[in-house]
Amino acid sequence: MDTATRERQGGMKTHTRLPTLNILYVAAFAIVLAGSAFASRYAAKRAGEVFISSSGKIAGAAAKDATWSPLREGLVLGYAESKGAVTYIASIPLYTARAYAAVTVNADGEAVSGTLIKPAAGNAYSKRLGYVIGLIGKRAERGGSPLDGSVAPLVDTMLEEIASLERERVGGLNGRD
Amino acid sequence: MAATDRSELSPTWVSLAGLTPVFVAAENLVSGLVLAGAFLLAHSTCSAMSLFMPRMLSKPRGFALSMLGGALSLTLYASIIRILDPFLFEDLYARIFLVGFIAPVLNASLIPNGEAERERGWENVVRGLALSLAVVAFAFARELLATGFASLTGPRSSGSGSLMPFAMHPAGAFILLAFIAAAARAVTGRIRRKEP
Repeated sequence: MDTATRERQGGMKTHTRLPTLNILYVAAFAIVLAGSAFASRYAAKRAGEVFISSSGKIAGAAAKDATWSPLREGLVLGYAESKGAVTYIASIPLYTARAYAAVTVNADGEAVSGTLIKPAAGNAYSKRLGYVIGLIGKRAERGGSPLDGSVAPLVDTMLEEIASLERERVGGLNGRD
Repeated sequence: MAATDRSELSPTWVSLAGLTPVFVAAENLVSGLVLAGAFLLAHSTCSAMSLFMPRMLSKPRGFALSMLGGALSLTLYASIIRILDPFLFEDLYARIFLVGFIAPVLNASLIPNGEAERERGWENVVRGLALSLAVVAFAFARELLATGFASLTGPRSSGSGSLMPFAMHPAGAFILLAFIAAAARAVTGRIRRKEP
């Protein structure tokens, strides 16, 4: 084999190796992309199920056949709906941690009950927040805890956001009818 | 003096400085573990991709592809966290994606210059592992100082065991980092003085 032929073969080798490597890269990218898309879709579905089961703590047995609608607007993550009952899940920032609350509204859009579904771990305000949220829909005074100065505005903001989103949701339903 | 100090900085110290946003974001042991995992995944993916990138590819394209690989791996990682604990995902998803844009990850995405640097590429992977362990250790220390206890189920309310209640706040993280950096500098200085 002369030198020219060997060089030509070497050159050919390089030309065939590089596209193979490129194809491998593109295939690996495609596999990871497809995996990410599938995992993301499944994760969204799974998160909806967890939020529905959390909202079921106050919505009762109706949570079994509920549907989850993600919103991510302000403090509100989304709402679970079942047979007309709507429960909003909100994420409330408490300094370095976050607490999660579920608030159920009636057909008139009035918040009828609330509960803290996940307290903010390690936060001194979390217990008081749970108490104040638990009073939603009850005709009881909030009391006079010195922590209310920090906690009550958060609850009021959350209720205002839920009321606004509920108005939009009902408005959308009426528009569709 | 300042110029001498700068020239003495090792790549690990530079990487640690670039990791500051993750140190600050890792408020407790749980978030530290999640962010360290995200960092390790992004850093390893970017290092491996830049190392095995076809040589005919230009440096900017290689960098962009490595970053894309890192971003894809983080998306996959975030989805896994969301499947395991949707509430934890809601707490941390913005911080998980921040990890893909910090200096050590950007640095790992650069295609190596020459054969010698390429052969030392595995060091990058080991460095990534060491840095993620540093993130976990720092997050553990923050939770321990703030609450007097560190737990995988989330921090407890700070009680009598708390030494530095604000350690979980960003300001506390910076103060703690400053203390650690000062201590490390004092120790390395002492070691160097002892060397003949």
